[in-house]
Amino acid sequence: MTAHPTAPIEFRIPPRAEVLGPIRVFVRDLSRQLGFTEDQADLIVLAVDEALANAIRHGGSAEDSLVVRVRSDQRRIEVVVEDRGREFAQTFDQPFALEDHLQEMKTHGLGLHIMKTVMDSVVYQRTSDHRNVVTLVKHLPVASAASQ
Amino acid sequence: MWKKFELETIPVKVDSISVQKVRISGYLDSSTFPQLQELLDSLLRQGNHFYLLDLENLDYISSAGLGVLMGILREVREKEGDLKIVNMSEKIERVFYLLGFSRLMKVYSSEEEALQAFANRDQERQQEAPEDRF
Repeated sequence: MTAHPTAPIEFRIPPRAEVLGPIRVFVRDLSRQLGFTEDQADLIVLAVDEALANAIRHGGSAEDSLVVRVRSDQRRIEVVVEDRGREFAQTFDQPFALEDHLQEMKTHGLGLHIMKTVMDSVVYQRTSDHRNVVTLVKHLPVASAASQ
Repeated sequence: MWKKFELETIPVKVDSISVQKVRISGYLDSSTFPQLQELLDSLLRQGNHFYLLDLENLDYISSAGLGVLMGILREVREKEGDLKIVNMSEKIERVFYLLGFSRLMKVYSSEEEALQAFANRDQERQQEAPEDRF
């Protein structure tokens, strides 16, 4: 079966937490339209929210817009979040110790773990023009994709 | 659309324990978590160490909100207090289970059950306390 990709939809948004609500609504609606279940759509929204919240918090000055780019086809949803903040630390690729996190009752550091747990793929790139690009991908379960 | 974020605090007396029941409604995320943090910090400064969080109308929680809950749990446990949760929706429960929070925070299905657990804890503590003979 051939997947039919949609044109990417791009948002340029100010780095403010108030923008999270509308983006969540968009990602949730699109996920449902693609065939993800309510539960899956809720978790995709959570992962995207974490990527965006991180970009808002660390993504550079208040004047720098964030870019959210959403692509989808009948098999998957891909959300790219770009910011102009400092380069991520190498901890991005390190495994997360959930047990230690819980035992020490840490109040920060769960966002990346949520992204990696929920999505099928989370990739970070630092571009030559100093942008942080986080790409999150979630595939539809095979049965759902096949029925599209 | 998303519901307005709202907080409501209702003091409840359970035997000798003063429990602060906090109702959290709407979306608890990186834009709203400072309001909850501020409320709980204020209650802590007033000496309140027992909390019952009513999440019946909580529609969404992100890591920012979970961080606040983790912080308050750590603080009250250090002071031999406690935090319990009641009326959690399936949606929020899924996030709690996914991230292991259900192992740290006791979730009750009814307020009566949660308050009874506070009462039992109070009775156990009183039974364990050394007798004042002089």
